[in-house]
Amino acid sequence: MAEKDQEKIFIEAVERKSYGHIYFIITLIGLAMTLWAFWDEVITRRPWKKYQKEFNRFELARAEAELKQAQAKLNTPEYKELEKKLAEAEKDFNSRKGSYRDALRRLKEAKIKLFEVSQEQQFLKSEADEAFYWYSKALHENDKDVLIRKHELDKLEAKVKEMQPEIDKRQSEVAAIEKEIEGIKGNLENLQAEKRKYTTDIEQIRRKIEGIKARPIEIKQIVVEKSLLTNFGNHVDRAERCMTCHVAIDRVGFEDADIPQPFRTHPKRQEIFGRHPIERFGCTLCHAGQGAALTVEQAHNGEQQVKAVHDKDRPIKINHNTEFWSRPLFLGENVQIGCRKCHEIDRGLEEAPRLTQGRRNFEELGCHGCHLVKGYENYPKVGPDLTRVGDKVTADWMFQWIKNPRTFRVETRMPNFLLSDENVEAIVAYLMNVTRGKYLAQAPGQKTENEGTGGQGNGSFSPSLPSYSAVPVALSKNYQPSPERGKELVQSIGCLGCHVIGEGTEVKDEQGNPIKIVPQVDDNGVIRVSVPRKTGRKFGPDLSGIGSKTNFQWLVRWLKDPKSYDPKTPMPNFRLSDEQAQDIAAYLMTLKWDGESKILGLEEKIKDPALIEKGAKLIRNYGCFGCHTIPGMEKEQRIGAELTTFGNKWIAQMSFGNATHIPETWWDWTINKLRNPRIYATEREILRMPNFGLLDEDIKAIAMFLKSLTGEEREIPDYIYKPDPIKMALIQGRELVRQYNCIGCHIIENKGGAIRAFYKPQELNMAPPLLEAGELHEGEKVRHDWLSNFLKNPVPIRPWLKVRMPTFGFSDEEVATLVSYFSVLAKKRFPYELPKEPFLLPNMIQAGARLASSDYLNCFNCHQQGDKKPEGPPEGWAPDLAMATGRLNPDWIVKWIKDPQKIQPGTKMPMFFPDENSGPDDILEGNEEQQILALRDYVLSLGSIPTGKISLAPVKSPEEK
Amino acid sequence: MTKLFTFLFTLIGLISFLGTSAWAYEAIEVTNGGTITGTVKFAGEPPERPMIEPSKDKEVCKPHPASNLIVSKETKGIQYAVAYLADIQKGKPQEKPAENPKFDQKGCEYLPHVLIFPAGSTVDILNSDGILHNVHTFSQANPPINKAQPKFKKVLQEKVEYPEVINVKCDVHTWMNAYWVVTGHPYYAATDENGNFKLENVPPGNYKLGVWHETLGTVTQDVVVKEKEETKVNVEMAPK
Ligand SMILES: [Cu+2]
Repeated sequence: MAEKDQEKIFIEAVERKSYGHIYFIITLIGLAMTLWAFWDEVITRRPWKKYQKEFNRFELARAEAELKQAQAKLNTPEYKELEKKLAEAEKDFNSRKGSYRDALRRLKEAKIKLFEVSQEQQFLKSEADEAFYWYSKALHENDKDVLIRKHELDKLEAKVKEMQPEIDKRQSEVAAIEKEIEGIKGNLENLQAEKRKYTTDIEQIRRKIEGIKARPIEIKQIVVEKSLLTNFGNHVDRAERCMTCHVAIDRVGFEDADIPQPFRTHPKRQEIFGRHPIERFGCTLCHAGQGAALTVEQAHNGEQQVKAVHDKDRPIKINHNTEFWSRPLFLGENVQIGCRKCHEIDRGLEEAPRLTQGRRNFEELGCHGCHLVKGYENYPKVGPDLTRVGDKVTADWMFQWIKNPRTFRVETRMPNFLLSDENVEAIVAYLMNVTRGKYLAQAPGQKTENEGTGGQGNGSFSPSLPSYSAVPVALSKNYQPSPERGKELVQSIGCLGCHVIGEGTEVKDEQGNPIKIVPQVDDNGVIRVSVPRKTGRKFGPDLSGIGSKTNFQWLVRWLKDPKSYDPKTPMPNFRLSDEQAQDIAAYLMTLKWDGESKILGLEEKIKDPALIEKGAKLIRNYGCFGCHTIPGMEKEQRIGAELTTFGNKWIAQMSFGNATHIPETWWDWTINKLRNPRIYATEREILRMPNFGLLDEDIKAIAMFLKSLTGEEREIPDYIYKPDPIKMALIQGRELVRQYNCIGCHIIENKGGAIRAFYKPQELNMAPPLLEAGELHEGEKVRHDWLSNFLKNPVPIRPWLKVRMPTFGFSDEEVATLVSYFSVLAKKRFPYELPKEPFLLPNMIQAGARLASSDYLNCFNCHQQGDKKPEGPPEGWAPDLAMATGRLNPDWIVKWIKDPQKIQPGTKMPMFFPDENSGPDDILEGNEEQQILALRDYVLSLGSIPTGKISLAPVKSPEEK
Repeated sequence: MTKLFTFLFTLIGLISFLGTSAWAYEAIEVTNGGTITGTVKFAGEPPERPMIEPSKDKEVCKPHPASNLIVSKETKGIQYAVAYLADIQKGKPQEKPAENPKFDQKGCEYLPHVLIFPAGSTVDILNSDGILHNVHTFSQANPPINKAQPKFKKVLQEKVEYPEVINVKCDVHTWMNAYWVVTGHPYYAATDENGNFKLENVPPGNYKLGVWHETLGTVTQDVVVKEKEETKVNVEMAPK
């Protein structure tokens, strides 16, 4: 019993003991974990959801407000009035429905009748056309049937005419019934349309609201195909989810600065997305960025503060660690950095001004001379060729120049190497030793077989060196050069298009900035100026002080043939006579530098072989040959670090030396390096980069360009900008115009022509011509075959002008590029279109000759005709009309005669046909249009089109480049 | 360089002169007006008038003395200076002349050398020479024109809308040079061969009297006009 009881108790105890609470807790934990997993999946790891919800709320509120507004309009008296009028009109219409239906039926019948008669007439007309054909054929062939044909034609035409009253009658019938119908309807339709305006608005907004409400909260993704270059060199797709939060980035209506981020529309959306559809280009191709991220902080970077969505007053603090990212997101101005990835081909990319400025700085300061950058391997050296410099400058000047170039010429791009006097002496010693006597020594009196070919006018010189001896510099003892005449020449032949000569601050360039600049000198005595753009009057060096730098003989020879001294110089050949060259040289020699000083015993010192040897070492060490061609240094390699992927450089790879005060970021390192290139030097690490004396603006621009060097350029072929032939012609043409500084003298694309400031308004016809300005398009004006010959070998159009087009020595390819460029600017068919040979009728030529004679328009009062010069002084002369045939496009001649002032404001050519009574009545029946054509034909009959082959190299397509 | 500066100075001169005529002017009835009479004299030795020797169309174009600076040997008076009230705001109405102002081309010289007329007038440009001339205006406020006047064209008509001083030149005969003074109010007068001018019916008050001359530039001086009285002024101009 007791056992049994005990067993029972035990069983009961076991049975009674509850594990419920354990299970309960475990279940709770399980549940909590499930909930947590759920929460994490749906909420924590989807923080973007709140942005989308917020955006939907925002948009919904806006739509509802719009709806209210639209509905409120229904309560306005105007709407009530409209409804009343509509009701009346409907009532009125209903009461006249019977006559309406009747009118409709009658209209249909009348239209059928009209159609029938018109068609009948149409057939008759066709028959008449046929008869006309037979008649003309007979007439032409002198057929005997001609009268019969004429009779048939007349008969048919009479029939056609006969039918006309019937048709007119039917037409007026239709019109009358249509008018009747209009009358019945009254303004019912107008009223209905007006009402619809109110209701459709509301309807649309309602639909929009429904759309917003039904909108799912979801990830939005763009796959930018093959846009990511992996380390293995293949391209993979990149998925972007930026639009999950930036929902309105590609939508109109969210541009307002009040709209909080991330909801704002992309700035300049139309311009940018128009050419880079977001579905294809995505965001990171331009904006870069480190990769996947879930929070605002992780996805963005930079010092800029982002306004919070929920609480506008609490800016989100951005994680500054992202500054150490190797691929930071580019925001604001920095986004221009991204442009270069695909637009490298366009050197003058105007849409990315800061990057372009940085690129120009990089190229024009010659950074590529010391630093290898892919794409710049063969880019020309920026400094002058020093092969023959010993005959150009004095040792004293060279010493002062190398010591601190900007004391001589403030805006020079030559940097300061911060050398000791002893080191400068050594470099001077080496350079003088290897370059003296290479240019002038053999010149006077020495004749070579090439003698005479480099003389005036023929412009043929080859860039190969030996040809320099072709220029005779036998300075005649009988000729006394005149600095006054030289000055006059410098001021009139066009030198001032590319050179400034010591002008004060009152003289402005074409942008209105003073020519003379005031440099800033920093604490270390470095002279800082903004990098002058190599363009306009600052293309060539400022010639102030040139008389202290060089010598008369060198100047004469250089002026006669610049390429004999430096085959790569952009200085053109002005086809000067020996006397003119001497006059100019004499003038330039009077321009002395007030800082000139003699260095005691320098000439003796530099003969010391040990010093020369030291100089060679120094030049190798400082890499002078990066910018200059130096004899004996031809095989040297670039001395600086390669920068091809500098933009990706990790902060750990950058040495800050002892400069502990500089924040350790890529930007800080780079900017400080550019400002003070030796700042990171230590006892063990000697730095050699010279100081370029840059200002902050230029430094920032260069840093942006350096940041764009990632090695990715040209690596994503699907996205690289491939200009069409027209755009390519523009890019290449602009580049050449920049390289040769055409805009120093000419206005092209409404830029340049600074030299015109030296002419009075009344004298502007004596200035270099406009090429592409306003209504004037050179490519429209002249025949392209003429233009290419002219560029190759300029033959003056107005030989009496003082200013002259120099000979640039363009290659065939360059000529073709320029001609295509002007064709494209003139919107002419591209690439070339020979003008149609006009068919010149003898009677038109005769009429034109009479018009041009002294009895009428007296054209040859001013225009030269072949060898016949006009009377009076050359200032009043106009070009030889016989030249027009081979030079001008016939259509342009007509345009020109019609209104010369419109094409070229200020021209001396007057308007001969200002109105319908301006032409003489006794020629071509006083018809001005015909008279202008007659003048054109007459002018074209005067000359001939030059025969012979025109060699035009085809423009290379981008692939070939 | 010198060219540039002369150009700049001429421009500045022209602009300052223009500026004065750009005043808003109100026409009122003047009953008690005074008169300003004056003489513009040359400071210094009167220069010779150089002869212009035409270099073309010599059967028509005859040698004649230059008109860009005419100073009387006896009185030192300067001809073709223009006296005007620079700051007048109210005064007699500017009446359109009954006949169009005439501007002739005779012996390849413009007659008159300085032509004063109210804005809005149409100028009859005559061609007495019967050879090709062209009328080329260098204007700022009005659209510049350059129209040929061949021998068969006896009259060209040109409407000039806005007040300013316009240099007129012929490109066929580069020496031909004249000025049109297009006025915004009636108080303008050109000096005669003795340098005399007269501005009539001026409302009493204090004014700035300006005198402009194509070669000598502009000078101004204060002038007080009293009711129905004559005010005499003497103006001296010196070469720049
Ligand atoms: Cu003339």
